[in-house]
Order: sequence, then C-alpha cells, then structure tokens
Amino acid sequence: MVDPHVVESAGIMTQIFDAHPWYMLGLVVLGFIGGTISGFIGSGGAFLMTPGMMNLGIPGVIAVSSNIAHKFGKAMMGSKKHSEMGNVDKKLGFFLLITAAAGISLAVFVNKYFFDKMGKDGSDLYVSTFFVVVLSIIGSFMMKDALRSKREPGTGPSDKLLKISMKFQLKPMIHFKTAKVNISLAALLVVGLATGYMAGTIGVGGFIGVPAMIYLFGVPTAIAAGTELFLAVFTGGWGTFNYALHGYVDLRLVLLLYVGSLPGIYFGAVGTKVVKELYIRMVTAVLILLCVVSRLFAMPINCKNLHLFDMSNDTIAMLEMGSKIFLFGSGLVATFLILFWTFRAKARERNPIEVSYSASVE
Amino acid sequence: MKRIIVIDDQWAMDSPLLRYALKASKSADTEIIGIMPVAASEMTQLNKTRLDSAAEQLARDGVRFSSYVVGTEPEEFIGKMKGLMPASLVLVGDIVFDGLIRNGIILKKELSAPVTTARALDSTPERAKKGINMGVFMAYTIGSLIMYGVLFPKIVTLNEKLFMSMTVTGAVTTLVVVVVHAWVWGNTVHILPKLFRLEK
Repeated sequence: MVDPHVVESAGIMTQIFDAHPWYMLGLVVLGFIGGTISGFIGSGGAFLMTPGMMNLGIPGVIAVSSNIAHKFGKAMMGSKKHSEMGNVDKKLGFFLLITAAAGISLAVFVNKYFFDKMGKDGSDLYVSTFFVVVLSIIGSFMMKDALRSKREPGTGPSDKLLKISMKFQLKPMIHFKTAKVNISLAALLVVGLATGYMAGTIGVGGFIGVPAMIYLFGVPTAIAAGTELFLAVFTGGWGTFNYALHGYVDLRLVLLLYVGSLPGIYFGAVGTKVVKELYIRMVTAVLILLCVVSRLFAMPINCKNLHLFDMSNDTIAMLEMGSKIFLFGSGLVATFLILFWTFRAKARERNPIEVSYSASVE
Repeated sequence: MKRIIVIDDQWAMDSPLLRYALKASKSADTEIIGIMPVAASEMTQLNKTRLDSAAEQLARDGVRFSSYVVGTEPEEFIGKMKGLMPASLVLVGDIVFDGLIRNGIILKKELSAPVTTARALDSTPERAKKGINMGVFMAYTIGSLIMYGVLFPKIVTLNEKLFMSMTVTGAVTTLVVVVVHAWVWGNTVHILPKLFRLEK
C-alpha cells in the first residue's frame, strides 16, 4: 500500500524533472553551493539546501528527509577525515546521541503530522516557521560575536555563556578526555535532544550542537566540529531510516545534490586553511540571516494556500521571486567569495609577499 | 630543560601551532614561553587577558608556561627575544613582521635557534600525502559511472517499488545506497582540489 501523499510528491518531482531538466541542474548547483559553504564553515549547508529545494517546488518534508539522507553520507566522509586528525571526542558524541535519537524520532513524528493533516503547504509553513525562529536567534548571536571579534581583533568565541553554564553545574559531571572538559549529564541530555529535534526538523542540527559545545561546554572549535560530524553520522542514519520508513526519502534528490556537494566540500575545506576565521564566522552569520529573509518571503504564500488570508497573483509571484533571489543570490555570492579567497590565497603563496614572510622568520 | 617559544597573536587553544608545542612539551621536561607581538598603538588589557586564559588552561594540563606581550618594533621585539634565549625551538604563528622585513632581520639568524612557522607545520601532512593512485581512482570513477549511468535513470521505478515503499527493506536499502554512493562519489571527486592546484 503506497501512501497517497508519497505518490503525489513523487508525481511533483517527476513532473519537474521530465518537463524542466533545468531543475536538475538547479539541484546540482544548489548542492555545490551548500557543499562549498558546508566545507568552509565546518557544519551546516542544509540551512541553504532545505529551503532551496522547497523553492524548487519540493514539499518541505521531502526536502528535509532527502537532505538528511544527503547529510548522512556527507557526515560519514567528513567524520572519517576529522577522526584521522584527532578532532573527534567519541565519548562526548555518544552521550549526545542518547537523547538526539529521541529528538529525531519526535521531529519525524511532528513533521509527518503536519504533512498528513495540512499537506505540502502545512508542512512547508511548519518547517519555515521553525527555520525562521531558530536560525534568527542563532544567526543574530553569531553576527554579534563576529562583529565583536572585528572590533577587538584576535578574540575567539565569546565565553559569557560558558561562565553562566559553569555556575549551574548539575551533578553528575562527566570528564571528556579529548575535549578536556567536564560537562553536566543533564546539560548533555538537553543539548542532545535539541540537536536531534533540530536535525530532524530542518536538517541542521549542527547549528545547535556546535555552538552549544563551544559556548556552553567550552569545547575547542575543531573538536566541536569533528564531534558534531561524528554525531551527524548516527543522527543522519537514524533520521534517514525513520523518514525512509515513511517513504519520504527521494534518492533522485540525494544523488543530484551529491553531484555538486561533495566537490564543493573539498573546495570549502581547502578554504578554511587559508581564509581568516573572522571571515568564516561573518560569512556564516550573514548567510544564515539572508536565508531567514528568504523564508520570510515564502511563508505568506503557504498561508495563502492554506486559506489563512488572500493575496493577488502578482504579489505571490513577487514574493516567490524575492525568496529565490535572497536564497540563491546569497548562496552564489558566498560561494564565489569563498572560491575567490581560496584561489587568491593559494596564488599568493607563490608570490613575493609570501617569500618575505618566510624570509623574516627563517 | 627544553624551552619552546611560541610567537602568536591569536592564542587559540586549538591552533596547530599550540597543539604542536604541547605535543613537544610532553615528550620531555619542557617549558613553553608564549609571546604575543602587539603594535604599541594596539596594546590593550585584552591581549594580556587572552594570554592569561591560555596560561590557565595550560596550567590545568600541567604544562609549565609563562607569557609576555611584546611590542612589534624590531629593536624591542628582538631585544626581548634575545633575553629569552637559548631556546630549543621557536614556533611562529601566521604573522607578517613588517618591521623585521624592512630592516632585513631574519629571526633564525638573529636568535641562533631553530625557527619554524605555522604554515610549515600545517603543510607537513600535505607533503606526506601519497600521490594519486590511478588504479584506485579509476575504480571509483567506474563506480560513479555505474551509479549515475545505470542506477540514476532507474530511480523513478525503484522509488515506487523499493526505496519509497515504506517498508523496512526499502528504508535499509535507501541507507545502503546513500552510504555506498557517498563513498564512491566522494573518493572520485577527491582529486578535484589537486587538479586545481589547491592541494599538493
């Protein structure tokens, strides 16, 4: 027995690909943008790819589930690399995993509820609302932190939250050798649940997990990114299995995203070695906030389709265009900047400025 | 006792420079001396605070550590550095010493100590990397061609019959395809940064 919604959604995808092969290219480009940004900032990419797929007409639940499946394989490759570099605290990853799995199952249940009860627009509206609320907070926080670093050159991530969290150290405390931190079990379980729920709802659990590890637990940035990827292998696998069990993972989307995303990740990762950390944090914050604006443009269209209020066709067309421009425009500009900075830095390594740097010390 | 001097203006605890210094300090009775070069106009309490916070963390790890904020004017900088000699190793972060370059001063000669840079440390693993194994690369390329040339055109049918069939078999098969595909395609395109001369 096939769920009618799956047939409907599969039909939507088939029509898109049969009638408009450009959409396939659109997905490949989207994958490349997401992959490059993901490789550059260490986590994420889904914050752009999930709404990007929705802008291409793919229902929210299928966009989320296909993106989680895509992230699963991506995390597997990334975690392997980080593990070789000693950036993974497996013990910390397993503790976070305890409740992250529950968070994902809960997210799948809620997402399915909205899709079943209110169809594509209900699912889109729920995913978009969650996206806008959570990422506005995270994007604003990251932007504030990046601007602080710009004013006070050389400063690392803010330690305000770490100092507050250290005042409320609920026992039992657990020591993590690789990350060299002591963390309350209660805090670990709450962060794990939030990471899992966010990963299961919009596919970007890393945006809770990584900042929480850095700002709340005091874990070094590289180990936070590596441990998050290690966690993403399991949350991604569990999320993929859960969504696939409901028939929501479309492998066509996954394979098309991979065409661009994996090369993008490699280019982005090279960029992290040569571009200043401040630029990385600024790009991340600006991109997240622009993606939020893009979703804000799209949400009224879902409200109209759900008969919550009425709008003219011209207004809808304008909002759709605005949403796409903000999303793809910001993604393309960020990707261009990352590649430009990377290629320029590599070119400079071969020019006299670099030679003089080496000459002054060696 | 060995003495390692680390010159950096960032002092991030997870920097490759500090990781290297910590690794070296564990192998013998060693002290680490941290230097933060700052232009006189930029001297703030912040610089001192960041060094202090690094010192606290290193002390918790049982590392002997002392630190100084030093001006970047060549005379002051070199004077301070000479006062800290002899050192077994001087590690230099990603800093361009304009003053030293203008005056033709070379740290290695001036201090008579081995000097290495963050960039040199960072590129060491790259140098150690093996070249491209063409046999393995061809195998992954053929695998990718099969995934995109044979599997992809049939996915519409397979989605209905298997992957999106809402069965445990369908879900498990979906997981397996994702894992295999990510592995095969990931290893195929791994060569791209090398082709663009972004990696050695």
